[in-house]
Amino acid sequence: MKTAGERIRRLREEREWSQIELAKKANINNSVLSRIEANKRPIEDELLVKFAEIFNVTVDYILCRTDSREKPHIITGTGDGSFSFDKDIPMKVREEIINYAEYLIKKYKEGN
Amino acid sequence: MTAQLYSLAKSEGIIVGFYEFPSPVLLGAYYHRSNNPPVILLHKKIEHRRRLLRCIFAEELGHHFTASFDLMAFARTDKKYIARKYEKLAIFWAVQYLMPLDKLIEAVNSGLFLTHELAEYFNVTERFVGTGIKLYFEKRRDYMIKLLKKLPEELNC
Repeated sequence: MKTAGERIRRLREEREWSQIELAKKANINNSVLSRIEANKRPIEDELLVKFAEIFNVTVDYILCRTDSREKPHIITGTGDGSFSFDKDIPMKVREEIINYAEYLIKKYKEGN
Repeated sequence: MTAQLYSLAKSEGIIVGFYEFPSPVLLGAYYHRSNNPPVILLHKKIEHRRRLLRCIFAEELGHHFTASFDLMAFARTDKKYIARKYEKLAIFWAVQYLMPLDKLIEAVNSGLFLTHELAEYFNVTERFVGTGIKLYFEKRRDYMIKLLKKLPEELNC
């Protein structure tokens, strides 16, 4: 079974970075990174997000919830100055939004 | 005024579309999949509500400039606070874009200090003015306190 630690190690090695290099980028001690890669230490939420940003993959990919590295991100705004995440966005709504956005992308590509 | 937002979106290669959202709480969304143009969706029902449209549009642009991962997925977990943090970043981007601090100071100095006056001046919703001022207080506290001191005495209670 794959683990988050292994994923991070692999992503790091693909880039030919040392643990020290990655630790520096993530602003953590390299002993912490070494323990994370060895699955001896859980990854804190903020750090997880940082790794996702550094490697340009999704958090889901690092957590092995998906094998796809593609990075769809959809971010909502109820707007009018209110924060939209106080209400849950149902999965189905999210999918419909993605479908429509994909449809627009397709149409756009056909037009060019 | 919204034209400026459209042209910024265009220069960023963002596709902008109006859409009947399947949820009443959503007025806008930003979507980006690797190697594809980003998409901003705006709710059809706000197409002609000029000020609200500007605020939502700017906030979605804010997401484009400040976030880089799936916030909606986070919003469905116990890690909501991360989503909220990035949501706030996007809103602050929008606030700085539509209601820059120097312009706000200028407006207050020229005698505009009621929410509806500022909303009209900046062509945004009153709620946006409120959120904007709150965020400026959080992030530029010293400035804002100086600004408050300039308000007429009858308001300084």
